[in-house]
Amino acid sequence: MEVSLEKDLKKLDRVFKDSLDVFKLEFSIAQKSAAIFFIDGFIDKRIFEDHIIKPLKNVLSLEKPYYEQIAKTTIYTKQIIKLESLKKAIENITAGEIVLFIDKAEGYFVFSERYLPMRAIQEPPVNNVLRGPREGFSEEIKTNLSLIRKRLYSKDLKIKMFTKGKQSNTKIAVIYINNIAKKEIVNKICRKLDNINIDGIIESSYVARYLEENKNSLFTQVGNSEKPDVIVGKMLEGRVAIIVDGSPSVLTLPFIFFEHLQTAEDYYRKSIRSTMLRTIRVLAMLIAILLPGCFVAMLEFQYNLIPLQFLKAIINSSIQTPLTPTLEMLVVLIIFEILLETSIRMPRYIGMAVSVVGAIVLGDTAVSAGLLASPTIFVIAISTVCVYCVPDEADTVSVLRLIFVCIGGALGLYGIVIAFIAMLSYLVSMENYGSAYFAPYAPSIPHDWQDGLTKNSILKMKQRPYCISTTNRTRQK
Amino acid sequence: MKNKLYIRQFYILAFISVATFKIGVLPSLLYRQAQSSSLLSMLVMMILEMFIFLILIEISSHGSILEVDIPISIKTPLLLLALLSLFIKLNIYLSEGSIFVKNYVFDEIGLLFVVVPMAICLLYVSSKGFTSIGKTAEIIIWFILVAIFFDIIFAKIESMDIKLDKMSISASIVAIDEYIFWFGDFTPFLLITLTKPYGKNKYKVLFLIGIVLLPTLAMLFFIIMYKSAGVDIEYAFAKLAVYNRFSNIIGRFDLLTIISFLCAMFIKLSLIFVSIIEILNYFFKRKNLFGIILAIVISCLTILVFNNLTTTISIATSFIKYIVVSIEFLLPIVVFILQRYYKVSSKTYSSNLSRMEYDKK
Repeated sequence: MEVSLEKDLKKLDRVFKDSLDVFKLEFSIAQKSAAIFFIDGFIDKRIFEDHIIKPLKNVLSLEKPYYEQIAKTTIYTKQIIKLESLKKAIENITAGEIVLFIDKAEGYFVFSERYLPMRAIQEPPVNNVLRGPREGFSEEIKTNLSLIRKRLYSKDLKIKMFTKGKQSNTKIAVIYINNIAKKEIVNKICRKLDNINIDGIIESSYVARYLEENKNSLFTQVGNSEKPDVIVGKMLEGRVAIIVDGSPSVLTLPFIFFEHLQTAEDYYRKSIRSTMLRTIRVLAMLIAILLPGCFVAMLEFQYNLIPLQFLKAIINSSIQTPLTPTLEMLVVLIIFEILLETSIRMPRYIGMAVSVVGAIVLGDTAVSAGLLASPTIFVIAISTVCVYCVPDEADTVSVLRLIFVCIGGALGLYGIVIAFIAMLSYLVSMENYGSAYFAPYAPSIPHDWQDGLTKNSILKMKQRPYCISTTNRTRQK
Repeated sequence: MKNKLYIRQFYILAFISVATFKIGVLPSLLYRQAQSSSLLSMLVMMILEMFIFLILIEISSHGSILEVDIPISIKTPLLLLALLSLFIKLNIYLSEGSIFVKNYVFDEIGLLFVVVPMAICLLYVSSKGFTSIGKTAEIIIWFILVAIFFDIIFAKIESMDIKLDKMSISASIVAIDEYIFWFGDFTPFLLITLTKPYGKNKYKVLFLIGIVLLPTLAMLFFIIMYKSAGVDIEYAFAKLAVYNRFSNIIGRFDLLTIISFLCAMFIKLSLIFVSIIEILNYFFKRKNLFGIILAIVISCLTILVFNNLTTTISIATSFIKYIVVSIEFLLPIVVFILQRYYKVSSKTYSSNLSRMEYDKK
């Protein structure tokens, strides 16, 4: 092929007519007409002027093939890519690359010298640890890839790239360890990514929706983390990581339910303490989901099952409140949800005022006025604290506890038991890329109990978990 | 197929299936008939059940009755008999469970509000198949074991006097004959296939001991704690749970036991429900439709016919008990013989790869 600069410039002028951030610089290289396109704000001006423009302007003669000479001239830049399609050249311009057009050249030359404004690597706000690495992913895909690469200096670390989103052209990287991850899982993920048909991908959750196997499920089916050490740990167990450009949240598959109960710190602490904390997290999750509903059920229907000492205290506190236990619980639940949402969205400067309103007005005044019962507020407060003991599943737990309150209010403890079994039945029947969602407890895989509810020493984990299909089970030599 | 279970899941389901309704009305009924000899009745029948389960394990390792290569002319009547027994059992047990919920868990509620949610949930769980029920049981068993442990450890036993010298074999046989309906819940297990051939399994002994031990221990505790007052007790396990060391300090504390029983009851009823659906589906291939019809039929029967314990017990102790028990005890033996006669080979079924790797270990 041969570039016709005049024709291409006309086309590009039409394409980028109202794109005021796309700049064109026309100049000549060895008396041959040339033009360079870039997006202002995406380039490092020093590199652009010193390593691209100046060397090119100083070229005295230019013989075909131009590619080699251009590459030698601009040797201080990264490797130049040659494109043969104007469409791809336009895509590269919009992706922030610098594209050089030379009249009668054999192609278009792309300088990958993007310099994007980005957030520094910092500790993620939601995955705090007392001990362990504090690096977190950022929104730039190359940075995220390098954060994984620096923890896995392995020739078996493979990366497959996709570009999805008709308008956004978002880069998606599928990253796995070749002799650990199962090919079928990698291929299935790639097939699903290939089938993404959307105009723009803003965040990794968009991709997660396409990767889910049970699309209408309330429960998380795609793991995610903002910490490179967590992602690398999961990849070493046989999982595949998916990085989406523009999102600090990296996805992992397959995902099992008990991953919610595992934190990075569990692997850096002593096993006994980790086991204790995991048990507490399970209890917290059950309390968060079931406590409000059970409380309502027992007050409405099964008060005779409450031990007498507790019943006396509850009745004395609740006797003057105007609402039924169910309505009262729903009202307090909704108020707490409003408070939580407000605390995330509100400006920092009025945070104190809202905290005071929440604590004093709701907690004290409403109870003193006899509008709400203190046991109800106590139950919801415990439940809310427990919700954030497992923050990854906070959304699901918040919805579930509301459902269980309604069921408890309608059918009592009996309804809660039935609903719980139905929910359990639903969870155990789910499968996620060949892994049972509720493994290693349903089906029971005793080998994997060493890293389930209980946590065994890292010295004893000689094999990867059986609940994730891998090609290489042996962890240690 | 959704009827494949691992051996561990089979054991757990069998344990729950055997124990659940034997600790309800049965202890009181047996005691009414045979006093101390009721312990002997329970022990003898549990040992017999244990042997039948050994046969069932052998059958399931060769494939479920739906899958094995037995001529259709023989298979059809066997399945129809199984269907009859399952349907009767489902109605009686559903009635027993619903009335327990209505009278004991609630103060005042219509049977409709107990049966209909149960039927809807049974319909939902049965749509997931045996595998899902097996996995659910693997989780529920932890609650049940904790409740059993709690009840045994904190049981308030004032005297161990059970009058062993007053036990008589004839009295125990009469009691067995009268209340034999509650023994033998084997038919659902004929529809299960084990995912690996029968072989060594370290939980087998534990399972067999558990089958015999739990209902027998429950009967023993019942006799020790309540003695002659036991004739007036409707639900043995509930009263055993109330009477513990906490009851003097903080009031009744039987919540854990009641919840465990509700869970176990639900698992057992789901097992019977899904068995009926699987058999009907084998003939007519309309699973969802039969599920809905069955749920409606059993709800109506429970509300209209089996709506009080006296009626339920009188139907269960009528001539129907002989039909059901004959089917339950003889069918596994017949299927076992047929599998040998038609030389049905032991099969290995693949599950997901990671599990297969683990099983090979």
